[in-house]
Amino acid sequence: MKKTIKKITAVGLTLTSVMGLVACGNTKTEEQKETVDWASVEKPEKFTIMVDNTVMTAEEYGAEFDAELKNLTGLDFEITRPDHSSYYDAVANSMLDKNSMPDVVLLSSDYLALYSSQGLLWDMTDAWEASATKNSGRLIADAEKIMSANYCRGVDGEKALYGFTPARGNGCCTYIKKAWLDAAGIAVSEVEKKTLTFSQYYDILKKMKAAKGVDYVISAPGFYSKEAPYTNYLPEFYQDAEWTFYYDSAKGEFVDGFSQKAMKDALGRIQTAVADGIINKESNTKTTSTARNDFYSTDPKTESGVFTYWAGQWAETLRTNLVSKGLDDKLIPIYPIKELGSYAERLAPSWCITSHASETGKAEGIFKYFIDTMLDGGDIQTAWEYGAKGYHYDVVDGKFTFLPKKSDAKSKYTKNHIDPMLVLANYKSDYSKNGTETGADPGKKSLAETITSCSEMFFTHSKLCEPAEMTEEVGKLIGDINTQRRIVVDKVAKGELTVDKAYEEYNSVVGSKVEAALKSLNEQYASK
Amino acid sequence: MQCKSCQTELPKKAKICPKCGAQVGKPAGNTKILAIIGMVIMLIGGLLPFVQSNEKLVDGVTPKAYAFGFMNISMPVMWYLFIALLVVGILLVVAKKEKFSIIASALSMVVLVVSMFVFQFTSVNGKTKTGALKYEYHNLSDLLSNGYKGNSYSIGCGLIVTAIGLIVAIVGVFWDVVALFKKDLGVDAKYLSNTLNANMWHQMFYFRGFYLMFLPVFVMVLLFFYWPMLGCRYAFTSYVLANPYYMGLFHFETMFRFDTFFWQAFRNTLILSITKLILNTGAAVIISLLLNEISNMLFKKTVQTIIYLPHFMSWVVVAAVFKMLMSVNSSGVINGILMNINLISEPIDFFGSSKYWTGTFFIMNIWKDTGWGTILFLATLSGISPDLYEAAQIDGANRFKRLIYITLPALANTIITVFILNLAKVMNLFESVFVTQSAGTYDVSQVLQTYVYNKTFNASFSDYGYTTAVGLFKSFVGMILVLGCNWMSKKVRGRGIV
Amino acid sequence: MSEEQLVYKKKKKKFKIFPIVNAIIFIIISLLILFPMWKVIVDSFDARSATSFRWWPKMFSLGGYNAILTRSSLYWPFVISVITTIAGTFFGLLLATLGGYVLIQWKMPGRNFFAYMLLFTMIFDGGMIPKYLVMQDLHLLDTLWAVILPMSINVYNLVLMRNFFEGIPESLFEAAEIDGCSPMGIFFRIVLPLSKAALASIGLMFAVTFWNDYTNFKIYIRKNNLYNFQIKLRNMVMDSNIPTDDTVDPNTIANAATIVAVLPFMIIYPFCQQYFVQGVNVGAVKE
Repeated sequence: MKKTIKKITAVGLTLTSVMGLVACGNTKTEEQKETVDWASVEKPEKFTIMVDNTVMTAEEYGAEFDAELKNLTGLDFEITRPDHSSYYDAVANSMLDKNSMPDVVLLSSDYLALYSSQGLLWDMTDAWEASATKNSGRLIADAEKIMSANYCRGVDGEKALYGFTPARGNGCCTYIKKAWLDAAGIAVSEVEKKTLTFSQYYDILKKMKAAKGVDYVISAPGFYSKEAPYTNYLPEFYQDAEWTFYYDSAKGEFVDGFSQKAMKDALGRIQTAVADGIINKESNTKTTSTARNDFYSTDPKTESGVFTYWAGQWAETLRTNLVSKGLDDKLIPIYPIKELGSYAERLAPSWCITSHASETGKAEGIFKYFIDTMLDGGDIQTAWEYGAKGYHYDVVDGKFTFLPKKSDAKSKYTKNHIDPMLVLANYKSDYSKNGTETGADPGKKSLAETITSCSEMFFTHSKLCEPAEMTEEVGKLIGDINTQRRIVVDKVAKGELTVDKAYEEYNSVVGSKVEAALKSLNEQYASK
Repeated sequence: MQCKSCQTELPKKAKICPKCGAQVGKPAGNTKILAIIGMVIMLIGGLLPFVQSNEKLVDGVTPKAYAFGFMNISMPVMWYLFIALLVVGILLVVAKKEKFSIIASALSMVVLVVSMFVFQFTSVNGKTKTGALKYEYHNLSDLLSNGYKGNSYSIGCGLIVTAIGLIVAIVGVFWDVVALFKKDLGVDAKYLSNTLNANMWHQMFYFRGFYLMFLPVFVMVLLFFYWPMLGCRYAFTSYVLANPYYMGLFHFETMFRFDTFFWQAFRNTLILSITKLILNTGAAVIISLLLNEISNMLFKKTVQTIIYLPHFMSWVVVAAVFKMLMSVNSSGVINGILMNINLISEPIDFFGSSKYWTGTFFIMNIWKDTGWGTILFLATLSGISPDLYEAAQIDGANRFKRLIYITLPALANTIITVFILNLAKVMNLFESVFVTQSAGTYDVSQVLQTYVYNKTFNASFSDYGYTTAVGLFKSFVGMILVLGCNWMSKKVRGRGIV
Repeated sequence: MSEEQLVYKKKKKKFKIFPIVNAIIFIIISLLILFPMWKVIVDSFDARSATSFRWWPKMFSLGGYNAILTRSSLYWPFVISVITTIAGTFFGLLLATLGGYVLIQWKMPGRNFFAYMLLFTMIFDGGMIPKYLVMQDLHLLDTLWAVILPMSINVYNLVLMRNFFEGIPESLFEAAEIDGCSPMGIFFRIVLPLSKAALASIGLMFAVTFWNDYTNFKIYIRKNNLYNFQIKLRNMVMDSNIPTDDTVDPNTIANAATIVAVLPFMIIYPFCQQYFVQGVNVGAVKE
């Protein structure tokens, strides 16, 4: 028995010393900023990319697109496409671990701010300044403004560029069915290309409801949107209300937009509209697809006549769906109402390079050969806009045609990741794809007129959203705060609580969290 | 060496005299459980803070330099030494060399005190540009006397817990607690020992094949059960996007004091599981009683086959079936029927609204598991002797009386057993809720497990440390329930459930 | 009428009403269970769904099943389900039989330690997040191992297997040992052939858990092409994320998918019912 104990002790001591050795692996690194000679940056080795479903999915010849892109850029990469509904869960999970972190990731503006504040993204400010794209002279007029809106704070609190957006962000505008206007005896000229006031607009909605005798006029995918700018599915009702924290320059400090009078008034308007049967009472259970289904429902009970949805491409998609269901397809995208002023143009998702790539020394190469070539005004840009030739589109003798979808042969592809209506750079003056018009976007002409006119209307009547400010505290608290905000909106909208009661609840549940978040924002603002 | 009673020459290492069967040497006592418990308390104490900030916690604010313990010591090797000494101590107790374990536990206490005052401790203040943590170094004695950034510091609970553990461990060495509970069987030890004089190493060699066979199980259990248990230490850290760092009991304090969503989830867990348990057991008892009265065997078998069927469907399938049945849109039959008979004017959203979700959940549970729950009751019922019924019938007892006086008493034990078995699983409620809930019904449908999932994987910015703490609380309550049910089960039916 | 006849009559009357009422109750209960399933079956063959309940599809169509068979986004999850179920059941049975066999070696030094080690896992559980982090450390995330391995070590089933083995007469082992059989030899030549019923019973339990697994896939798998059928079904029904099809309603596809998800067990269930029931009884009666 004594021997046993000796052995056990020996094993124990050995284990201890091994553990001690393992524990010494805690090293710290301080990085020095060095200047990069961009001309001599070489192509990176194989790298990984994580994208959402705005890039052609596996079910839509995604592999063929990857192959074409590899061929055009001469790079070796692997694209991961997580499930759309859980894209940001997948991103968050993979960012947690250095080993599973992708080198390039596509992030929405909220996540861009979040991850840059955590030091997980590579600072591309200098790279962008020296980039071929920026100095090409092909950028559209608003490009500089849009890129500068993407600047956000890093761990050091300094604003810098952490993500590249090849396109401007779209936004939502309100579509009214002409058939419903006709039924209510309202002339199209009364609403089209006119700035209505809220009371005029509400009057029209009421008239439509009376004339059609329906349960509701407006279908919406929720009383709020799940991502910034949150209020974009019911803009006429929210008007100038802000969902989250913003800097109030009059007060000289950050305020909680959700607690402001503008938001309380907005919730009152929504409550009234739901009670009047204008907005669908069940909106909180709707997703974007079920709300769309209501808009082109053939059942007069569930059909809606007014729908606020993405401008541009979607104007045409909504129209074709109405046609396929045998409904009248005349849609009128209206101007923003007077109280609203302008529609919100959201910040487009941006391409970010992670700290994993910078640690392995690939960041510069990826920027130069992958990101900087997206808007090369040539074949690569075409691939990003339209996909792979022969699968997503075809060009025969200068005639550009979209091909039918793999998943649904009845409809056709219209774009890949970059929407040609939103792209930030024009084509090179000498570019022509198999005889298309030289110097012009090869496929833009093939887009339906509905798309271009709606898109133009939108951009003349929209304003770019401000990026959200982020601190570590806000990052930790925003989840709970938003959960409570959503409960407030749902309960008020359905008439379960009065606005005042709901705000009492809001303050008692997350009031102190909101205060803590504001404090950290103000401190950050004061220190920089 | 010679046997004391019969003076025969004993073989080497013999425990029992081969001739007269007398015990050789002192009888080995029971394992000193209390000493082991004491050392486990010391291990837990090592996770808790030694020095703690007196800062008042405010909801939403993460304090800096909040707590100091082994996990943020600048020389983690001291922690490993502390753990190793305690592990050696526990092994010594298991090997019945209790006295030496005092040395191990006392040494580990020395290690702790030395580390407290000799080494520096780190705290985290922001991040560097590359995302790594920015450390600051502190001297604990300095902190205790001078404070840091206006906060004063005091001795934390870790030191107290470890000290208590040490006392328990030392007392445990001299106090055989097991003897209080163990009945003396009154049998000579030689009859209990079936290994007689065989050497342990020979025994182990004889069973070498079995060890090899157990190896895969052993490895899998270590990997998937015990390794995660070590992960519980993250409950004491802030773990946001890699880089965990020690926060002491911060998460537990926030959880209990500020997190209304956590309390909501805890309440929902109890309400949903216990109501479900009562409803399911009740329904199963009634159905088995009725089923027992069926005399046509073919009919009985068919009914049994049908009512067991839903048990094999996954929760996803059950939810899918009910979702399509109770849908608000065009395919919802239930809403269609209710509207046709003018009970309601507009379709009810059974899954999406908090008002109806709970009811829907219980109906789904009853539909799925009642039939399966009858198996045990039916087995018990078939065990009741028909003579009893016949005798009662002769005495003029009607069906109801026979039920009250014969069937129910016979069934009572099984009902309690089933109840206890399921009570132990109350905290495990997860998948059935997870597949049916949606954000709109969180106020009634969020249970602890789904809360952990949603807060970790559905949030852009999640503190793994916090959700681990919630999970640890759940596991802890679950453990108390299991042990409690085990104790009850032993009282009721003479054997435990684990 | 004599008193005897009166009693007889009374008895007869009583005996008649209750069984009939009882039978009717059970017919209703069976219908309540079968009705939702029948509705799903009917709708899965009907090209257009409707509010009213029908006993028979109005527009008979195989479009729903056709969609599942022809779309890779629908049949591939089915294949994944099949793979994990087969592999999982195999590993599960292997570990349960090995562990159960070792646990009946009462004389083996350390046997009690192993038993307590297994039992403790039933009392305390590391929790979801630590388990996830372990999977991450093992680099198993986004691989099918992450859903197969952790569930294949099931202590409850292992103890159940031990209970079955305990029923094997001791004398058989002794005889085999005398014949010079190694532990492995005894295991393969005596224990396994004698516990076919136990293998069937526990194997089926494993198969059901693996086939119905949703949670592990949800937690450990993020790659779209590694999702199993249950995940796909949940997406289709609860999140209305159904592929569109020209010939049939999206609902028809969802209904067909529901049927496909239960089909394998509905087919074997009537033949294996006894094994399932046996598992429950053994589990509760002797643990």
